[in-house]
Formats: sequence, C-alpha cells, structure tokens
Amino acid sequence: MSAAEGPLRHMCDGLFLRCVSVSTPSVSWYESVRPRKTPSPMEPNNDVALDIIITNVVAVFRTRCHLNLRTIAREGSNVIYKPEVGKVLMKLRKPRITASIWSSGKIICTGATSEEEAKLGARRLARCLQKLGFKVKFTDYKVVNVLAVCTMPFQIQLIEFTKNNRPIASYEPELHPAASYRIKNLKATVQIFSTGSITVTGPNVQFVATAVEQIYPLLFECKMAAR
Amino acid sequence: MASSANSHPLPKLYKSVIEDVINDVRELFLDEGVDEQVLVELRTLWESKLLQSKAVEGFHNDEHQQVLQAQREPVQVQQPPQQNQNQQVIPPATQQVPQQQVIVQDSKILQHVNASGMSAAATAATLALPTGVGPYQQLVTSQGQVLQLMRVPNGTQYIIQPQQHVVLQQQVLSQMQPGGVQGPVIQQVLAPLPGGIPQQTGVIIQPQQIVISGNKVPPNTQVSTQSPTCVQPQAQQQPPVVQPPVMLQVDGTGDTSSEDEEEEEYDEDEEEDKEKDGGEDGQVEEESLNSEDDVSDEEDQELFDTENVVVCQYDKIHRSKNKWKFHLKDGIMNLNGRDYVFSKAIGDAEW
Repeated sequence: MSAAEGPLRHMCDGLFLRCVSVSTPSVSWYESVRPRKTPSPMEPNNDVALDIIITNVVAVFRTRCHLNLRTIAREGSNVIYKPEVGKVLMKLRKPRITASIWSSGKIICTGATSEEEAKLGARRLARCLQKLGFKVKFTDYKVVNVLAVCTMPFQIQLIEFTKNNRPIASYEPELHPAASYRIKNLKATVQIFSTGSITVTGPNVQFVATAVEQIYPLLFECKMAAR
Repeated sequence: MASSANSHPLPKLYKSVIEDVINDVRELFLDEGVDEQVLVELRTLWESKLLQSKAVEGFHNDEHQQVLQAQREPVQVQQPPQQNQNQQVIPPATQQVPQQQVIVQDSKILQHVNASGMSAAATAATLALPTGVGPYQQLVTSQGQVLQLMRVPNGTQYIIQPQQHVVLQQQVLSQMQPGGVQGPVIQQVLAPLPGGIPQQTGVIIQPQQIVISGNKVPPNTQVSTQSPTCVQPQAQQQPPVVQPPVMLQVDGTGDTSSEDEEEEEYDEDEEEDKEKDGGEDGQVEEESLNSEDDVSDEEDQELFDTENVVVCQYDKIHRSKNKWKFHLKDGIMNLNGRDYVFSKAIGDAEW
C-alpha cells in the first residue's frame, strides 16, 4: 500500500514537515523513520524535510443503543469476548483496526493510521453491528488521540534539554530513558530519546504537527552531534 | 487384533461410546416403558449413520470381522462377491456368536425406519436365502428403506423392515440369486415411503454433528429483517417538520397590503426550510450507514464455507498482534468430512 502523505509544510527556516501515514509499511521500519533529506531545486541543500509518521489514531463513537455483548460474541465474526472486563473486541481487516465495544453502546476504535481511516473503520464497524441486528446510530464520533513518531537528523543531549526547559520537560533516566515534554496549549506530549527519535501524542493530527514544529528548535539547540 | 486396535483407534472409541450410551440408557428406557427394541433400533441407526457419513475410517466391525476371520480360518465360508466397499458379509462360525453386526450398502438417504412387526414370510425369505452359509446379516438399503437383521447379545433377533415387505423380498431375491451384489442395491422403489414410517428424529444422535460453530450468521436473513426497520425510522425523520403557518389577520384593523403578506410568508418559509435542511443534513451524515456496503463480508464467508469443525477445550489461547497460538485439549474434529479425535493439540495461526 502506498503511504498517504499530507502536504509539505514550510514550518520555519529550513524546516519542512510532512505527515505520513503508512498503512502497510512497504519499507523497513528503519527506513520509514529515517529522515529523508529531499533537496529540490527550490529549497537550498541544508533544508531538512522531516516525516512525521502517524502510527495510531484512536477514535470513539456512540451507537445510542444497548448492545448485547453475548450476541455479538456469538454471531459476530472476528470477535474476542472478554467477559471479565465486560467488552468485546472486534477486529477489522480492511482498515486494520480494533474496536472495543461496550454494552452501553460506546465504542473505541484503535489502530488506524490516519484520521480518515479511523472514521472509515468506525463506520464499517457500526455497519457490522447493524447487520447483526442492533439499531445502531453513528453519533458523537470524535478522534481522541493521535500517536506519531518522528526522527531528528541529530542526536540530543537530554540532560541539557531538560535543564533548558526546566518546568515543562521532565527526565528520569532511572524510570524511563526518554525525556517528556508537555505542551499545555496543544494538549500534546512529546517523548524525546537521545537517539533523536521522538514520539508525539495529541488530540489530533494538526496539533501533533504543530507540536513537532514547536519542539524542533528546542531540540536543535541541544543537539549532540550531527549524524 | 492388537494391530487393528492401534490402526483404527477411532472406530474403537466411537463404538465404546455407543456401547456405554446404550447400556446406560437401557435402564432409563425400560423405566420409561420404552421397549428394548427401540434401543436396539437406536443403536443400529446410530451405527449406520456413522458408516454412511464415512466420517470414521474403517468400520466398527473391522475388529469383529478380523476376530471372526481369525477364528474361522479353517472354515471357508466366504462369499467373495458380497464384498463391497461398504458391505460386509460376516458368516459367523456358530450361531451363538454374540455380536451385533450391521452392514450397510451404499445408500444416499438413510431414513428412519419404524420397527414394525416382522412377518413370518419376510423372515423366512431373508433367512432362507443364505441357507448354505448360515445366518448372516445383511442390510439392504433401497432408496428409502432399511432392512436390518441384527442379533442382540441376548440371542434374540430383530428384523427391522419397512412396511413394504413384498417389494423388498423381491429385491433381496434378485440380489441373492446371482450370488453377489456388485454395487449398490437395485433401487426399484422410487417413491418415498408412505407415512407409515414416521421420523424418529429425537432418538437419533449424530456424533459427527455435535456442535456447529455458529460463528457466522448469514447476513441475508438479518439484512432483510433489518432493512424494513431501518427504512421506517428514516422515513419518520425525513418528512419535513411542518410548522403551521402564522395566520395573519387580513381584514379589519390589521389589514395589510398583499405585498407585505407575501414577503412575511416568504421569510418564514425560508427560515423553516433552512432549519429543516440543517437538521436533516446532520442526521443524514451521522446515521446513514447503509452506504457502507462492501464491508468485505464475502472473504469471511468463503473462509467459512469449508465447515471444518473442531470442538474442544482450551488450555491456553494467546494472541500477539495478529499471531495466534492455541493450546487445546480433548477435542473432536471433523475435517474434510472425516472425524478425528485428540487429547492435545497445539496450533499456530495468522489472522
């Protein structure tokens, strides 16, 4: 499957960002997270294009009707019943997603690699439930979380980074090898690893891209050595 | 004998299951006032169904046959032409061999047979024919009739016949005279039996259909029931909400010119229309799930067409992403029409 790519955004001097969703990675993982330097005749050579790869999109919606989990578990296909928790997992192949279904009618849909895919998967899932005989309505659809990874073309001094961004960044190497940086107004969290890889979680793709844009200069200041 | 037991563990197992069930149930049947004959008939029908389904490799009677053959090797009583793939002729050395033997010929339809009384003539005919050989059992199946000659360990004999004795006798005669049956019984009775043979569905247990995986419900039935109900709520929502038009006083002191009236009515109508459209659009976008057809149901249906069934208990089932690992125990499988049994099974699968 080809990678769905967003438009190339000129973030700041010398930095271009592009949000990429790779549905089924045809390239190896290393290649997909390695930054691709794309010098074009338009941009000067020292510009860097970073690919932000969206790995997970989580969405919720409500069916506004009670769902009988035992019926879904017995008659649905590709379902896992977890009675101890009180939910049914239903997996879809086409947009590869997993949905947690509660009897109240709340459904959480995870595993999509783009916002469009998440919505499509959620609708397909609601359709499956409808075919099982439930009077489902597709309401209150909302993307609640987006997880993306990005790799900087340089390594990062985490201690220096934490010192520079004292209250916002936190780093406990004994607990976790990454420094975490919370951007309050974007409600996004960035985890920074010393290798230069970062993971970003936020409420939607737009905020995630903005978070990367905001954090890039801070990381650039604390870079260890060029790769 | 031992080798036969090892090479055919499944028939042995099934036969022991049948024996246990029949023996345990005998008392209950007698308590209920049900005749022993019904029990015997149950057993024969069970075994014949098993044989007919070919779900078990080798007959139940393989073992017995080999035992008998070992016993009477010096006595050559064989009728080779009778040997059919599905038919066995077992001439016991003596009449006191306490064995139950059922032979089934190729039959496509096995129907339940009422244990009717046997007529002396029919008995004589069926028993008299193979006089040179000694009494043996033969099951003749025509298109809808089952003839079974059985010996129960207590020595009594039962003949279970369909109602139409005469026809059967003729058939049997025609078979026996050439000295053998080459293939399936000549099926001269084409018409289904009259209602003299009631179905005994409650009595028959079909071990090869113990559990049917009900994982996949054919969507057709559900869709058809669902679509009318889906249409109705939508039909209810979609007709526009009609607000009663404001009644303007035309005459009297509130007399207004016709132009003013029309303008006011236009404004109100436009507002109503906008509200209607906005409301409808929101509902349509949110709810019309009918447009998502092509949920690729067909792939799953194709996969399920095979109907290979495994009924078992599990020790552990594990999944990582789409890799599954199964640790199963105590199971019966029906794969490609054949029955298998296992006490432990380990499997890997990718979804």
